[in-house]
Amino acid sequence: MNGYTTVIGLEVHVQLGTASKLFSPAPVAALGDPNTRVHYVDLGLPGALPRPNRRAIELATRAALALDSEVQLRSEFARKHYFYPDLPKGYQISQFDKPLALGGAVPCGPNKTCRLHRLHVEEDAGKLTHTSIGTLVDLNRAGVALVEIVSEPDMRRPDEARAFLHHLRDVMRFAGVSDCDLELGSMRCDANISLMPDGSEAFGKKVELKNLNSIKMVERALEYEERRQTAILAAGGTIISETRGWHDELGESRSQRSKEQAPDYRYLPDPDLPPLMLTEAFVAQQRQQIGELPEQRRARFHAQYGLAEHDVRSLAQDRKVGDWFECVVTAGADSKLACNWLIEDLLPALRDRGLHLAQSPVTPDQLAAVIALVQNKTLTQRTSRQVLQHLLDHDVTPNEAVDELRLGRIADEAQLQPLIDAAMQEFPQAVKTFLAGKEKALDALKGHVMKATRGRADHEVLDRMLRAIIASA
Amino acid sequence: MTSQDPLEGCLVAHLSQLAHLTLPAKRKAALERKLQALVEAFASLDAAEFDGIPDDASDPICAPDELRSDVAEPPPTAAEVLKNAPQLAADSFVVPRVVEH
Amino acid sequence: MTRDHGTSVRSIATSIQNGDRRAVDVLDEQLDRIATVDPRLGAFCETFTERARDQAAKIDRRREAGEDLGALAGVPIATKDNLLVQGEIITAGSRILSSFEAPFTAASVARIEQRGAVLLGRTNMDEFGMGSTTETSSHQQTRNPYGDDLVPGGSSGGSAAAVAADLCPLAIGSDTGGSIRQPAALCGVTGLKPTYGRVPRYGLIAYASSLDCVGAIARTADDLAVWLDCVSGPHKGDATSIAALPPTRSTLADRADLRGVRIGVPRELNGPGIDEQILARTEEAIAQLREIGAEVHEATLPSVTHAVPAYYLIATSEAASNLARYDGVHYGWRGDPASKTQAAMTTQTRSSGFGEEVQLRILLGTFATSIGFNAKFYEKAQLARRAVQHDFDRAFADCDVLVCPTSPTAAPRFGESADDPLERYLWDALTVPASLAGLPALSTPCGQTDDGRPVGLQVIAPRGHDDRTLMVAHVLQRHTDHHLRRPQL
Repeated sequence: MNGYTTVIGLEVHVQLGTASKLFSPAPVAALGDPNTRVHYVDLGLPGALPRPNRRAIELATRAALALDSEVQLRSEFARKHYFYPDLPKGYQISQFDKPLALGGAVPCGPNKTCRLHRLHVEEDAGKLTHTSIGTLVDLNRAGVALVEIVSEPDMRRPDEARAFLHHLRDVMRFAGVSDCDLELGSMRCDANISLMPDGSEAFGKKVELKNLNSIKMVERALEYEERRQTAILAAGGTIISETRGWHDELGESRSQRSKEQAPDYRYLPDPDLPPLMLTEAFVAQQRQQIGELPEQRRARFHAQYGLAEHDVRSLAQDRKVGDWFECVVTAGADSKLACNWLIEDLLPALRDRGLHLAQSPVTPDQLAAVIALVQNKTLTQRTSRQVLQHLLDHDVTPNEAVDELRLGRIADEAQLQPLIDAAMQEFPQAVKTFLAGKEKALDALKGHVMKATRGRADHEVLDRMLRAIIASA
Repeated sequence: MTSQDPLEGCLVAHLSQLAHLTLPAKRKAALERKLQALVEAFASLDAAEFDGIPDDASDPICAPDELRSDVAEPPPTAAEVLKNAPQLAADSFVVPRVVEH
Repeated sequence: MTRDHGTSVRSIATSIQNGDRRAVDVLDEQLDRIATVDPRLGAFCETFTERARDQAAKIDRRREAGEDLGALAGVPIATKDNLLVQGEIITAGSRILSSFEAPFTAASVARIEQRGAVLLGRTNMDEFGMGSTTETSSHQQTRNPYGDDLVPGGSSGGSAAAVAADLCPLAIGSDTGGSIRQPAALCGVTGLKPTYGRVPRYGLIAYASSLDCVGAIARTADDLAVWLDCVSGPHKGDATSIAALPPTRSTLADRADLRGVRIGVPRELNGPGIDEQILARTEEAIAQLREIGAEVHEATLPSVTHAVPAYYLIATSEAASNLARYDGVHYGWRGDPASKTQAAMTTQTRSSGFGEEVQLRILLGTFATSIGFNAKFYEKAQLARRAVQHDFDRAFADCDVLVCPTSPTAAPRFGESADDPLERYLWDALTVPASLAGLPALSTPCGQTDDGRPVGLQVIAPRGHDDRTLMVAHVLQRHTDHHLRRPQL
């Protein structure tokens, strides 16, 4: 851009989906009255000692594997020291020169990948609220397990950052590591951006952006910062290396503190925690737990089920949806139909009822059965949807639903005959028009019978009978 | 030791800032001398070589099997957590305003 | 000469279990003695009178109900002021915790309570364990029972003085670089620092996490064996507590002599910088050990020259880190409530709440871990530590225990402690090697100087073999009576 290349790196904190905190058994939950989820370890009470959470290590390992990062069998916990009221011990337990994983990669565009520098585990800090009487400290969040993912500065455009974050989020959710919601705080992102003069080998001065509360905000802030820095450089000025907070409502970033001197955190290997030693077997187990990742699933669904690109994308994005889809197919349904029914009918219907797929009253087998009923013409498209709605609200089998709703297709000529007669009486003109050659005239008659049967009349039988009767009239 | 005296006055000031300790003027000089004396004594450590010492196989480690299982336990109540708080309000600790550095 | 005045842990517990004595009576005797003697000594910061009376009464009731009472039934035990006792004020000798109420009880203390112990009160200590004379306590001075003008040693000076003056049969302490062994030696009693990781640290106010050990002081090695057996073992609250250590024995082997026991005397810890009279008493003790049948030969620990600087760098680095939590925000003392900003409040709190020695060590530790110096000092210190451990391993290939003096001098006078921190630090030169290596080490009385000040002999064993230190001391105590000597009070 104007003789400069934008260089972007991201630092993402992902909250691990554990029941208790990283070093204490206090519960982790989104909401709660202040200081009701604080163990003495989180409070940093003298004499309290940390105990690492196994599941946090499992999930962190899975995160690393899902991002193609190299898991280090031996890693160490380290104390990172600074004074702040949301940090009761005066240090954060994190990892320094021996992190859990090194390297990795995250796609950030159709043909672009951003390398990862490292991934490590650390504990979260509490929350501060600034008021007129002073700053209030709530330690509910202090000690929650996080994984910090640091990218290499490989991105060159703000939209690449957006793509990176979307992919990262999808993979973390898919691997069951975190629900990764930037807006809820289970994913947090700081962005680094600098402008490098074209042809130069050295990066320009880096600005760190904070307070980015949605993926779109990350992109907006980077775009703004790109423009701001370009303008300064174009005017012959220099960029100050600093931290800037993003103010979305104002659409601008504002300086928070100078970064010219890096803080000295006096990292110390934590003497309360022996080194973490993972085994190959443990790592293999985690790999197995992740199973297939979105990209692999997309490829497989495409190959195995012959589905179109956008269908595959819809099904592969959420692991549970994809798994559910496969169960429906295993129960005998055609893959295309299963896909459509799931995406276009079942999921919206569940959403209307405030339910997740996992809470669906309709099972994959049942959906497959409904699809089969359409295939064998017991039900029409319309009536099958009614059956689905009924199944969502009543604990019955598909066949029972059909009976209860009296939706079985009517193919019995004896039943249809009087209805056809009534229709012909209602629309004598239609008969004449049809005989004159207009096929479409039959629709009025069919419509009348359909209405009378509430859509249950079998199309083919109705059509055959109508033509036969008219012909013989 | 490096050729530069590591304990200039500004270093003590820097350490004090890092450790959030202010030394009264009359003690500062004495403290500097003490730090200096200790640092010189520890120079022998700096000069020593420690090669070829094997790792101890019995050093403790954290193995995944031995880690705490992820079961949440009921924590102390807010009142208990805040019991020793120097100042509190609305179930929170209170500190004078925090100024971003 | 009676060897047991009925004041040992074992005899008290036995007499209470037999119904010969009541726990409340034993307690009252102890409280009376404290009321009479302690105003002069200052060993106790506080007695947990109400709590102790409740506990003692409960023991008596349970005994009457025929219940099993536990190995420490009714025994009054003092705890150092850095071990949390639920509901009690625990301060680590510091102003910054002057009104801190502990919300839970330390694991090692809970274990003795479960076995019937009656917690007598908290004993005085150097602030946060930083010191060898108990002079840095922010509360009061503790005097050595062997002389009003003498320091009791430190940092567990209160515990050592309490046992020496018969204020309690056993007192718990902590040892990071000698804080149990040295005051035990200076007060003429027996003190044990167990293998690092044997006794859980959960609930011990941390000084240096990789060095801190909960230990105890009593008159006899036998009593310490009873105590160790009660508290030993891993604890889920402490990730550094070690599961796979050789087991303890509550009753030491009933051996009459030390035949077959090989004793090494490290030359580096038995000459340089040690008082002549200390050396003389040590020689006599070693001769005694030979007489009892032990095989004694010289040993060497070459890396020990680096032990003091390595220890101080590691200890102060960890201490600076552990004490970062005292910021006036969540608990503890807050300095000036009218501070305008949080940073100013924290700085003022720490600058007034911590004593000078503590501030000095925090600054040194901050220095040792700061950017640019970390590789030079801290990492080097860890390498030196490994070298010391390795030397011990090699020495133990040829011997079962190592012995040397516990302290290079007998108890100095108040204020005599050199202003030169380096000289002060060298007092720990004999005790820090075993601390660095995480080994069990015990001090047992082995005589006195010409002017009546006690001298201690240190016995060090390989990692996990705490029983050996107890056994050697126990047999020596069967053949001598230094440990039975009492001060004139």
